[in-house]
Amino acid sequence: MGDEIGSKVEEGSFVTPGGFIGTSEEFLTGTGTYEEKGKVYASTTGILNINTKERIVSVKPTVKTPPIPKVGDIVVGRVLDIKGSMVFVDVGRIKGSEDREIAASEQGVIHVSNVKEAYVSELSDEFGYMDIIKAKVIDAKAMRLSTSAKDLGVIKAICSRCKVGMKRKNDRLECPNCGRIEMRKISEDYGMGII
Amino acid sequence: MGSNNIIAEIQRDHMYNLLMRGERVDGRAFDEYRPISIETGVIARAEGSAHVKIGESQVVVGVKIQIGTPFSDTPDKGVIITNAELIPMASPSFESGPPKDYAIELARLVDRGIRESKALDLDRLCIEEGEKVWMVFIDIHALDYDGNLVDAASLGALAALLTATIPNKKYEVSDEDVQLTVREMPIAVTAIEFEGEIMVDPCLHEEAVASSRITVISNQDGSICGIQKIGTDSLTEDQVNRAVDMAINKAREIRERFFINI
Amino acid sequence: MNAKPEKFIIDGLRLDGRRPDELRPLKISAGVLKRADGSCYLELGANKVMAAVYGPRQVHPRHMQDATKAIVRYRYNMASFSVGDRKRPGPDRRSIEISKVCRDAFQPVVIKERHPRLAIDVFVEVLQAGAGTRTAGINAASVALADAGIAMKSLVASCAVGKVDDTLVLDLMKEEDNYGQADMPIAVIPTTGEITLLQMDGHLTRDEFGTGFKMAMEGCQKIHEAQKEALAKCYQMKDDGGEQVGE
Repeated sequence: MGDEIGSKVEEGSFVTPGGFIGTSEEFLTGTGTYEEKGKVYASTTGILNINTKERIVSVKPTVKTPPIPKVGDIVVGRVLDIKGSMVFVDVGRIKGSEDREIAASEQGVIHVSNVKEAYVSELSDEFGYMDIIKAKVIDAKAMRLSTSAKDLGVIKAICSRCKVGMKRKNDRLECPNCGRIEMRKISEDYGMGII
Repeated sequence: MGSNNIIAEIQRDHMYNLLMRGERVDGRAFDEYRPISIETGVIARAEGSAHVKIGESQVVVGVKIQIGTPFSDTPDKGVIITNAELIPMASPSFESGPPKDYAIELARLVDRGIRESKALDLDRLCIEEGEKVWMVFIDIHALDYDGNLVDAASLGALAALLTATIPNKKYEVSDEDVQLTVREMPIAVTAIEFEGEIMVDPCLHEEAVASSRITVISNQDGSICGIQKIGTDSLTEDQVNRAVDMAINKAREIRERFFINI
Repeated sequence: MNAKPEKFIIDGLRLDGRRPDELRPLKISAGVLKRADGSCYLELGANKVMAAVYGPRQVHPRHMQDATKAIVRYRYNMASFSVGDRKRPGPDRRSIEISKVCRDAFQPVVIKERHPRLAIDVFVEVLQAGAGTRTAGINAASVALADAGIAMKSLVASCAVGKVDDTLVLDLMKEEDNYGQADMPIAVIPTTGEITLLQMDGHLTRDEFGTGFKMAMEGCQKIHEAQKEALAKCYQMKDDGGEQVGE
């Protein structure tokens, strides 16, 4: 009602959900907008962007939107299972949105070919049950992850015998409790407490 | 819920690394509180109220004073009832439903400070022995949980009581409402133990990481009226003594800053 | 409890000095809580309400999940100290009904298909009640949802109309609510005029219903403007390098 008459929105306008942008003859809907009954509205709070060439309207959010993993995002998660050539990860948070639960499925998977640059003979030499890992999203839909970069991999390992956090000793890990040595695909940020 | 634990575990390493350099996550000294703000009289429908912020933690405390019947074993004494609602608004880890053990522990801790310090004169809250007494309800409503709710709730309870009036007119006891008499100013100070160090006023991350914390409630003369060790780890005698000293000092500072001319 | 006033309208003005079609003073602030994903504090007359949104997040227990879309949950709760006589903590039949109709009020606007299997949780806490808490709660929840970045077809605005001394009045205050002849809260999608909540109790003629409804609709439009302003102000504050930390 009120909004459609008089208030012409333009590039750079501040809009809120339900804000009328134009008709579907004028514009195609981009992110943060939707179309209903031939009219285009904002679906999020933010600044209106009009791509005049392609006639696409979108809203750049000024509020924090639900974190949904995209290709290239860094995530942290916990190793829940290692089966065949796959590592199954419970994905916890996306880097940059550490305070907010991810708004997608939490099940991620690392294929043996995406663990590291070098050849992997035994996945159990790269990950352990309950380890915390840092990984990059390479396929957002299936939540396929990679740990092959230097800063990626295990950032906190759990001793397979006594279940306590292990300390880094060069390129291996030592259990402060039982002295057991274990191997992992270790992130260069191991034990630093940073994501 | 699992993802919260992951963050806490990573934070633990982060805190450990900082501690090796003598620092806390937010750069505070070990005996330093986050900014505290106390606003009283925020709820007009309550007889006394306060909105307290410690850092980003926020609680509202409302005091309702009503007439009720005394307990049969104390027929000439008023009644204090303290309740805490750790509502799901305040944290993703708080659930709806009846108060959980941590909410009950919080309420009882605040209650103990008020009761044991004898801040309220229960004899004066008696209207008619065995029949009619004033019931003082202290309701703690947590809005935002960023660590150390105990201290925020206890400051809120004290500030709300200090500004509360007894509604004589509403209950036709007399034709004038009077200020509730508060005789003592118990202040709770909570500290965590992490790798042997004692740090006051833990923020959320510190609370999640430390497996033990201790709350000490002290009076104006520096005496102690309540203590609670919370958490799964043990503390040494030396750690407890350091926490007690720190708590008494901090309580004095807070009392002077906020309550001397409330 | 105050006794019933003899007259509700004197010389065309109500007990608090408002005209019949006037809203009470309204104050809205977005983004006021740290832990919640979105939040809003709202004062409308004597009402003080806080709304918080969490999610979309995982649903426990899992059998409550919907494989095709997100579920919306809404909890309206009154603080024990929010009313004259202390309220026993926890939900009662009234708050459960209000939670339900408010949840329904948001179903048409939240774009749930974006987040299958997840839940969007809305929590409304009434800190001080002063008639019209459900409408105040909806207005705050709407801003909190927007602050959480939840995709929505629109904000929802809500307001009540009632009748005292045979006169229609907008946005009832306490005395009008307690002793009035009718109370009709509505919630609408302001841009289309669609209705997402409608309740009424008391007595209205057919004509009064029609006229009153239009009054409430206009009240919702004014509230909608204030909601948009609050979101814009929150954005400007962030842009200016954040809010002042007061002490």
